[in-house]
Amino acid sequence: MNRLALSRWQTRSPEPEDATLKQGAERLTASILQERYLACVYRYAARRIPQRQEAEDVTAEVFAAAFESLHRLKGQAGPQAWLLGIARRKVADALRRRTRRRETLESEMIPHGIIADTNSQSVGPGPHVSIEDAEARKRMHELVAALNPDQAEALLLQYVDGLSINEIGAVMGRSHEAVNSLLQRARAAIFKAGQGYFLGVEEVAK
Amino acid sequence: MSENETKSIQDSDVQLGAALQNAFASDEPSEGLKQRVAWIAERHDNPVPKRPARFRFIRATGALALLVVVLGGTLAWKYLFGRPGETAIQLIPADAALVVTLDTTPSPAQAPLFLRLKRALESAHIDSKMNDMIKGAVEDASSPISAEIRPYLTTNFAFAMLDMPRPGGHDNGQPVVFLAVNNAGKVEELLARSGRHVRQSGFAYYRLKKDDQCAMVVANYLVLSTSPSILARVQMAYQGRLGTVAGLREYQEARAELPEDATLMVFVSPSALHELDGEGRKLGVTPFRDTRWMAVSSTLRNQGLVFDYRAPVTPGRQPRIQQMAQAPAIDMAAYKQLPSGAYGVFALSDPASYWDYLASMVADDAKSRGQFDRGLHEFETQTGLSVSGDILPALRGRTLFAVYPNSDDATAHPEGLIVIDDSNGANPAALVEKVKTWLQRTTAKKGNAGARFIPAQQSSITVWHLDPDSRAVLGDTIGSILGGIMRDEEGPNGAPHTHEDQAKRPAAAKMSTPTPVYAQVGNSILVATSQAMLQRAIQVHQGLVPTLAEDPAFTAMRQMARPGTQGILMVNLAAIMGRVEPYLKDWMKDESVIADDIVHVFGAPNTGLVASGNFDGQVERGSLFLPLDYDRLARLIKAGMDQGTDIAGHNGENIAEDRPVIRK
Repeated sequence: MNRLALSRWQTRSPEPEDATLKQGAERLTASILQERYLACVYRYAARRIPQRQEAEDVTAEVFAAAFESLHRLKGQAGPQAWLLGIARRKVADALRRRTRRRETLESEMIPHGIIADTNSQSVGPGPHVSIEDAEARKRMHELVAALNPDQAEALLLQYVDGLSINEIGAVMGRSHEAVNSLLQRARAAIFKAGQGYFLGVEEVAK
Repeated sequence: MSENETKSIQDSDVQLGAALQNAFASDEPSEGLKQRVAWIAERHDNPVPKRPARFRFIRATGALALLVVVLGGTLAWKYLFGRPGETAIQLIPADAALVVTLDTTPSPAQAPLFLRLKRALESAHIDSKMNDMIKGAVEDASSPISAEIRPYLTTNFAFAMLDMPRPGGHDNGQPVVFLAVNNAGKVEELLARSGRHVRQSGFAYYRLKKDDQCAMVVANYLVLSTSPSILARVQMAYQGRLGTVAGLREYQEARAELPEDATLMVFVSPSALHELDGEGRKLGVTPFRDTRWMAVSSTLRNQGLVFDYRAPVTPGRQPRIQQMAQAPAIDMAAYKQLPSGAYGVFALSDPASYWDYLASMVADDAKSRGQFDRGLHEFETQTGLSVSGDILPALRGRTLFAVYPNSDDATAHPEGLIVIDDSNGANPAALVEKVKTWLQRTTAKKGNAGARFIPAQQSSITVWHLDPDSRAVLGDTIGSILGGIMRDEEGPNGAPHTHEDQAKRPAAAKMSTPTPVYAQVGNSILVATSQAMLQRAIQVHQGLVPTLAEDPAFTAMRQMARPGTQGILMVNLAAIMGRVEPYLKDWMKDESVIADDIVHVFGAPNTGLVASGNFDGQVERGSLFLPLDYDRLARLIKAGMDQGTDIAGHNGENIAEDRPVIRK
């Protein structure tokens, strides 16, 4: 794995927290919610929907729905997990609509689903990335695409969106144990399939 | 678990996390999305108070009644009148970038007009001439299939540009044409005879032998494209396996606002507008940013052609141009400030509101914004005028630009009049005062005493004019500028000007330079190109002469404007053509009938070109009416075609005559 990717992961900072949010949902206004979590929800949608415009539309829909049901927000899993739970349902709806709308010849079909199209503008930093980096990204997409959809979802929520196991459970509607199991199996499967990619992790895969 | 094993698991976890972060990194949300969501949040946090229940009930009942009327009307329309061009929308995949439809099936209101048009074309023998032209073109293209199919084609069609997703690249537009046919079976038979039948991926089409075209018959359409994939997608749309443009909510909204019996319609998708903005970005502007389905139509009416335009603005851009939505409609009081008899008038109810619109068109990148801000700063530094503090507050009222025939000499150049009134709390007089001060300061810098304006009182109206010395100062300045330009130009036939010419030109320029004069009525300002013109405008305010509100031509033209229009252009074409009539008839002595047709092609007196538009905060709408006398237009087209044939024939003779003879 290349060093650039490793350094990006190690320097990753957690989502900013706000004291007002910890005190409960009563003081959480729609404006605060969108200021804090717009980027995180958009990134979640953009990773799953290749077309930028469509991802933006879904993000706007998520917030419109969230504002309508703001009074239902409970303090258990936190606003981020609550929003991503809504986003998960909206993305699934959008992908269903998209499947109905954009059926096309196999040769022209854009692969989509949980994994966004690797050729799409919405994925990755753009043409400046090195060939090595692009290859590594492509390989990771293939590895994740080979996972069971729930495993892939849990894995991305943990490592890319930075959610805790409890929060992932809230997003996916699963128990703590179920999410833990999904993640363990996902990790094992991905290490096993990507032995050449993850140097020195053969033991873990076994 | 040993320490080494724990470290190994932690390392691998870090590696996995980094790899996933890298592979699934995504862009940040755009500014448009941020504004859009912020706007939704703002509306949620500060909701508009709800209307009382009684009004809500009335509104709901009204909406239901409207829905019934619209649905009933639509069904009746579909049953009563076939619109094959428009119906093709049901076959066009939803990701089309551009859709054009042409329908020549008249509505009941259009039936007499279409009959009249048909007779006009027949009496001018245009239909047979066009047939000959098409036949010739087909023969030149040496494509027998086209010639054989032509009798089965109607005059209704649709055209679309479809996006072709390509792995690893941008979408490429591919055209597809839908020609409505009156005998699908016969057309299929002809295709089978003239083309190669191809079956691929479960669908069949014909590859035409001599053209690089693929064709198939779907429903009552001959569908043509250079790409079989496009035809396959059309086939899937027909089978209901692929969404179509007809099913898009935004298309339906756009279509609903165009006339039901529109003859030509053009729909532009957000993806195509995005492409256009990509071109505009090079110039630092993105006028179509965030615009959804844009629609334009052209409809034949008894008095002429009507063009309609509709462009919705997405919530991301709306907050920046809300000022425009609040601009009031132009009312009758606006026209009561102008004398009657104008050639044309352009009016805006709140010109300052367009500033936000123009600013919102500047591209979002730092470079374009920087250029815009620097330009603005430079202007403000040089003039000492603040755009937000001086200019915009002065232009919040109605502003009218009008052009009139010269009152002293009908053959002289027309005269102009600008009225900037003090409605909506505007204060243009304050701006004029600042401009006057700037003008005095600027001219004084050039070694002169500076331009001075002398006031004169006419009852409550103050008229300002330049004193004779100042006029000379300004005249010299403008004359020297114009003289410089003229000296740079070439003389007749590309020869340089003679010394005598050069000596005369600056003086001539100085003499012909109009000296603007202005008057102040309250805080409103009237600016005219001559004293006589200003006097006519003042007489309007004194109630001594008829106003443009009573002018029959403009009264008729106002009826053609959109309701609630915030900006309007009206041009009295009949008056302008009447003005050029003597010259035209003199010039076309041998063709007086044609000259008469040209003069009256824009219809009877009291009609003219009308362009109007408004913005309600969500959708920009506009319409343009062009008056036409179809009989005269048909005769002019015929004359043009005859002349074209004569020229072609004449050229042919010349070529034959000029051909060198090869002697053996």
